[in-house]
Amino acid sequence: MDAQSDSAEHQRPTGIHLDAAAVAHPAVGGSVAPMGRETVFDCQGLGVRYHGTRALRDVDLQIHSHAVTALIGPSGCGKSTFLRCLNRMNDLIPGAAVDGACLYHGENLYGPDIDAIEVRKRIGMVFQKPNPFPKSIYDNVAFGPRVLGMKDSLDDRVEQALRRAALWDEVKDRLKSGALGLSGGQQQRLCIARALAVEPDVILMDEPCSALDPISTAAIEDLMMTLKNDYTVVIVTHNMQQAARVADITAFFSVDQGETGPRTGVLIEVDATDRIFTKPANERTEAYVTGRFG
Amino acid sequence: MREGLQEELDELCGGIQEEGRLTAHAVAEATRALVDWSVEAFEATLAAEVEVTQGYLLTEQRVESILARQAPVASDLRLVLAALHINRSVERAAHNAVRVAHLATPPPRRALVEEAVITDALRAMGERGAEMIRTAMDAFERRDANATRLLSTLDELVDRENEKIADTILAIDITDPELRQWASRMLFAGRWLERVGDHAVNVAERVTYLVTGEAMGRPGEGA
Repeated sequence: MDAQSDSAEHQRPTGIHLDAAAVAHPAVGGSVAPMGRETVFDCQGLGVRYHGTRALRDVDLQIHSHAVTALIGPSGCGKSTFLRCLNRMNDLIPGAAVDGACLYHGENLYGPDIDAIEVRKRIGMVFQKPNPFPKSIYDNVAFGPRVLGMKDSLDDRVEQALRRAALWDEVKDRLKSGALGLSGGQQQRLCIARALAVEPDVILMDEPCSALDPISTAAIEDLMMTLKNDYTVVIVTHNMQQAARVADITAFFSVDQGETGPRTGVLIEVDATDRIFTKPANERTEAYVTGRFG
Repeated sequence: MREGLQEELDELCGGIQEEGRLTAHAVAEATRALVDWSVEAFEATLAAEVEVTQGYLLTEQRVESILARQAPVASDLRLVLAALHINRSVERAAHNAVRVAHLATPPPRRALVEEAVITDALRAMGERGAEMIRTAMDAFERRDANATRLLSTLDELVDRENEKIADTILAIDITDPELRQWASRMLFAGRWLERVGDHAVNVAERVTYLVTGEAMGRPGEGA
């Protein structure tokens, strides 16, 4: 090798005793709660049963504003079930029953006075497969505001939603064209614009990129990073690298297999994303993120 | 699961272990060349360092490939990052061995009491340095997070021998130019052997990081 001297950073002053105890008992950093962000969802002992069979149990998880929270885990671990609890989408599934508490800004989402439609307006959702209505681009975005009676300045509302979904420049000259003529990635951003048009507080995304090519995926991921400035974003993803790229907080769900009972989804660990992907606290998380699962 | 990645990680670690073995050998041979003026030991040092350098480059290539293709995370990621640093430390230690070997020169003809003190100290440093490299590589093999403490203690002993050399040389009334040249070469040899000990401690620190995920000196972590 070259004759370069040992670089200064490796120079070790003589006589300094290294404190091994400091390594064995490090100061632990990286609080799960991002500094200065408020708690949007506070779930305590949250569980779901389908026709009496428990699919998810005892989830204690807080979700904070202006952050992307990713839910990861193997198939059947209950992460999508959990996501659907956050805007009462499970109400629409026959036989589904939710137990435990799910507080949204301190208010019980499942309280008797809560209007599920209002919940879904404030907590929007984007699905795995883009599902635009067979209508024009404009009408897709305007649909929610029209239904909810938000009809003032509708053109501005549509434009703002499309801009926030990073789609405006691509569609501004063909707003009256059919939405089904857009590419898959554009359709997904249209669905995000449609969710944004009713001025939600939270955007839930259930595997929003799994049907998209890498370029469209990158566009959606860039969008998530922008959206978190104004919204709270929660995504379910099978793509761990996607969670690593976009999420501030990552929650790992897994499956507990009872000896005779059914498989039940459980929350194993939640932490800052870079801790989950560098030094997860739980062995099951380690096994999953390193691909040694199963 | 992920057998391909596991095989590549095993290969990576195996390569670094071989570099470590060769480096310890290079340090021992360099010390023999220095204090016994052995031409054979001098040549063995150079040959070992050439092999270490080849291993170093191959390890770098393996790390690059694993990062690019396997996207390792958690303990796999820490292993790859630790491997990159350990590779560097081991290669630097081997390079220091070559520097030491090149400083080999017989002392001026007149017998000096100090000569024995200096060569004994250099021999002790070299033997200790080789032992420290072996201990550090063993800690890497066994994923022993606690080896840093032992190696730091050994490093203090090496430092003390080096200070003894410096003190002895500074106390000699050096008016003889030949003696002055020899003494300055031994001073440098002590310096390079002292660095070998430091590199062994660096290896152990990276093993601690690999096992615990905590790296000393990072904000919010151990001082």
